[in-house]
This record gives sequence, C-alpha cells and structure tokens, in this order.
Amino acid sequence: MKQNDAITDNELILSFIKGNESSLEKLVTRHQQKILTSIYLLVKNRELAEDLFQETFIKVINTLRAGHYHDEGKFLPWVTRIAHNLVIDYFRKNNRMPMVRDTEEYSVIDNLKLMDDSVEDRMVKERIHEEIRLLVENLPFEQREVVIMRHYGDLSFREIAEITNVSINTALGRMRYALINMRKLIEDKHVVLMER
Amino acid sequence: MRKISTTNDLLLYLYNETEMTDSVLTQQAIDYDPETEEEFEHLKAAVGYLDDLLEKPTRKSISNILHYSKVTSHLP
Repeated sequence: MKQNDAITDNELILSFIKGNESSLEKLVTRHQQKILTSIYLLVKNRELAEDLFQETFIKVINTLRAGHYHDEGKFLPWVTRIAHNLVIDYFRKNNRMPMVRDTEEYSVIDNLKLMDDSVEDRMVKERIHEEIRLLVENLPFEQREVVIMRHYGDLSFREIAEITNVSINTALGRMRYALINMRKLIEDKHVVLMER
Repeated sequence: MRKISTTNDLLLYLYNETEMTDSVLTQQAIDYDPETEEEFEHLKAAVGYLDDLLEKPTRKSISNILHYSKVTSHLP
C-alpha cells in the first residue's frame, strides 16, 4: 500500500473519477495551503478568499468529472490558473480591477506603514513575517500575481508570461522587483531590530 | 567587473527552469563570482520568506467542497 505522499496527483485524479471520494479529499488537503494563499494574497480578504477557494474546487470537480482535464503532471498549476481566472472575473464583475503600478520606481516600502511601534518583546521573526505579509499584499498587482503563480502555483515564468500577456522578461522583471522590495524590507528591519 | 549572471538567470536557476548547460554555467558563476553569489543568496532568502506566508482554509470550506462532490457524484 502506497503512503499518501507517494501517490501522485494523477493517481488520485483517476481514482476520484472512478468514484473514490476520499481521493478528492487527499488532493484538496495536499494543495489547500498553496491555493488558498494564492487567492488570499490577490484579493486580500479572508472571507472572499475562502469563497473563491471553494468555487475553484467546485470547478475542478466538474471539469474532472466531465473528462476535460488532461494530465501533464501539472495539477497544481492547472488549479492555480482556475483560481487566478476566478479572481480576475471577480475583480471585473465588481469593477475592482487593481490599478497598474508596474514601475521600478514604485516603492512598496514607502507606501507601507511598518509596525515599528508594536510590542517590543515580539520575536524578530514574527515581526518580519507579518511585515513580509503586508509587503506582499501591498506589492503592485502585476508583481504580486507573478510571485503567487510562480512560487505557490508552480507555473513556469513562460506560462505566467502567456497567462498575463507579457514577455517572459517582463514576468521575470516583475518577480525581480518584488523580491528586491522584500529584500530591502528584510534588511531594513534587521537593522532596526538589531539597533533596539 | 562584468556581471557573469543576470538576476533573470539566477531567478530561472532558483526555480529550476534552466537547461542543463545553463544550470552548470549559472552554478559556476555563483561559485566563483562573489557578487553573483551574494545576489543569489539574497534572492533565496527573500523566496524563503514566502513559504512562511502559507495559510490553511477553514475546515468549513473543505467540508463544503467534499459535500458538493458527494451530492453531485451521481448526477449525469
């Protein structure tokens, strides 16, 4: 008997299509964190993220049962695309498409209210963790979506470029700026915290 | 000194998206060029923080999905 981790996504999918409901539970459990986090960091609202998370998997269930999923060993990137499309649909329907602010000059750090006055005895790691979350949430939408799709969704930079209709260099550039912004914050906060 | 690997090369390498030859060249650049090595370590550190942001959905969301699957399993 194979251990859960040793069973591939494709084996679980085939088992689910044959009627084994527990295989779906294993698939959802395996990918729940990456999918929920991907959605949450885009919509920045926990309740809405939970709704879109459910909607994503309902679409997954229907598509699998209809026989429209063709496995290429990329279940997670496929689900991430579905989640991403649902987020974009939501923004469009509600006229809430985020503003484009995709320039190198845009500084997230300047626009982020850092929590320098929080309780002093909080652990350094916890503070940085929270600030990193805020920083990612406050990245320009285009940078955020590349970070999310590449890091959590396991989509290649080429696939992200296709989905977002840009060149691969632009996709890489967006990731680069996002990471540079994060790095600056980490460095700044380390310095501030060390000086306390 | 000319920069041996661009940040884009390092990002592709970090996410295992380089061809074998490019991987060898990028790893060599990291090994022998301190500037490149520092840049790579910075990128790796920033990417590492992203793993800390993972969140779990509520049990209710999972139950709703499994319930939907169960009740629709016999539909044509």
